[in-house]
Amino acid sequence: MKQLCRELERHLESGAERLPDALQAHIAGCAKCQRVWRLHQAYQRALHAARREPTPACELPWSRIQAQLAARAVSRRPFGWLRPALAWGTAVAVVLAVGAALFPFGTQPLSQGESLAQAHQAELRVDTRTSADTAHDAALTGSRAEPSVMAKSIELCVPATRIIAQATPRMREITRPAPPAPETPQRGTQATQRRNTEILARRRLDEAVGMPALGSVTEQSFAVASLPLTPFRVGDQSASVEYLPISYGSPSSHHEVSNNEAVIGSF
Amino acid sequence: MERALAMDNLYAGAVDRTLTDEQLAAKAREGDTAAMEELYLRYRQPVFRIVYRSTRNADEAEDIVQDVFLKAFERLHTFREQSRFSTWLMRIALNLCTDRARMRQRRQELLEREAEHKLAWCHPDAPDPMETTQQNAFHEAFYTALNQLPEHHRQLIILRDLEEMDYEAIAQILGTSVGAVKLRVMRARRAFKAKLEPLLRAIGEIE
Repeated sequence: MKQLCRELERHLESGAERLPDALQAHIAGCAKCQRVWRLHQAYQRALHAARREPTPACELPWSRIQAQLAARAVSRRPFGWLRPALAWGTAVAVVLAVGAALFPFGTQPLSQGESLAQAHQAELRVDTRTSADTAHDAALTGSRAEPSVMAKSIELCVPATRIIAQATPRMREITRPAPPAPETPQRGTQATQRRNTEILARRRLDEAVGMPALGSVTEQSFAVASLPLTPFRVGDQSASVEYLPISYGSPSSHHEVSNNEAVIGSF
Repeated sequence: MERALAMDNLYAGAVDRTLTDEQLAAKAREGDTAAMEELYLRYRQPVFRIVYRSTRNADEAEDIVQDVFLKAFERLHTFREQSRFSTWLMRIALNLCTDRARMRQRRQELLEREAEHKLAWCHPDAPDPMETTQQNAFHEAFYTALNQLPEHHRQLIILRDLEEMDYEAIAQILGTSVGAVKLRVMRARRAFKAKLEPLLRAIGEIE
């Protein structure tokens, strides 16, 4: 009996809709198999009904698919990764810029000139009073309390700077020739020519040293300094700018270069 | 929409219709839009029918059909021609149906929680069985039981018993052997009948 029950289950699971005679006879006498058989018949009817049920037509037009494909293709163009990469790059650049603004130069490695300048900054105390002021300049300037502005700048920033000369010109009235005294015509002519030559020479000299004429606004000091041939920064200017010393001044200053030093003058 | 369908049918045929699916797929892989359109027109309705049997909602089924073809055309380079194009397409459709069923189940669970487990067994869009005819009740009982099945069982019932696909095709779609498919179909039928029996008894279809 149980064998026929299992036989019926296998038969139904195979999808058969009709039963052999032996199984039909078994169903007539087995309540459990009768229930299984009725359920199977109901299942088959439901399946037939479901298969016959009309499926609505798909009304999705090709144009909609095509448009979606085109839209997606645009969003996945070959260099589509470039846009987010640029965005990230910009963000990183902004962060770096903000960081540089908050911590400007304190953590940056010093250049050679900067490190030299810092190393010598404390010990560089050039006595401007012992520099090679001429007696004439000393007499002209009198008691000068402070060195010039440019000399300060050089002292602070340039390593191993030696102030060779320093002076502050004093404004003075250019000597004007006095009106010629009444002399004999010959002597008077010769004296006038000699006086005019002297005046011209003084004017050229004044112009050459840049001595301001009477009526100028300020008196400007000048200094002549000697410094080694290493890069350096000047004053509080931009840290990224470095200067190389150059030979500057009259030809008589060139002998200073022979000691591997350059001479600069500031006016 | 009907006008769009008519336009589809009118302008379809820019590509040779005697080409096989695989030949069309090769053309479509190279960017031939006409080949894509021909493939779409060939399989729009079969895919829709299977999806509709799973969702029982035409709008939702159309959304899934759209996703199926978008995914298929975008991943044509992965189609190795080791199986038929239709099989490959049906596999995509079934996977998307599974995803959608999971979403629907989560939504249904939320709805059930909100409704304090009322109408838990009923299809959300189902009409009141008392107000329907006997035939409709029969249909509703059938699909209610079908929707109560796990997705893998439901797909097998749809493919084998409703679409009447042969075991070989189902095995190719599911990527398994014919013997495994037969075993799974048998288990799916048992589970389906277990769900269906009380519903049919409730409507007097069986004693």
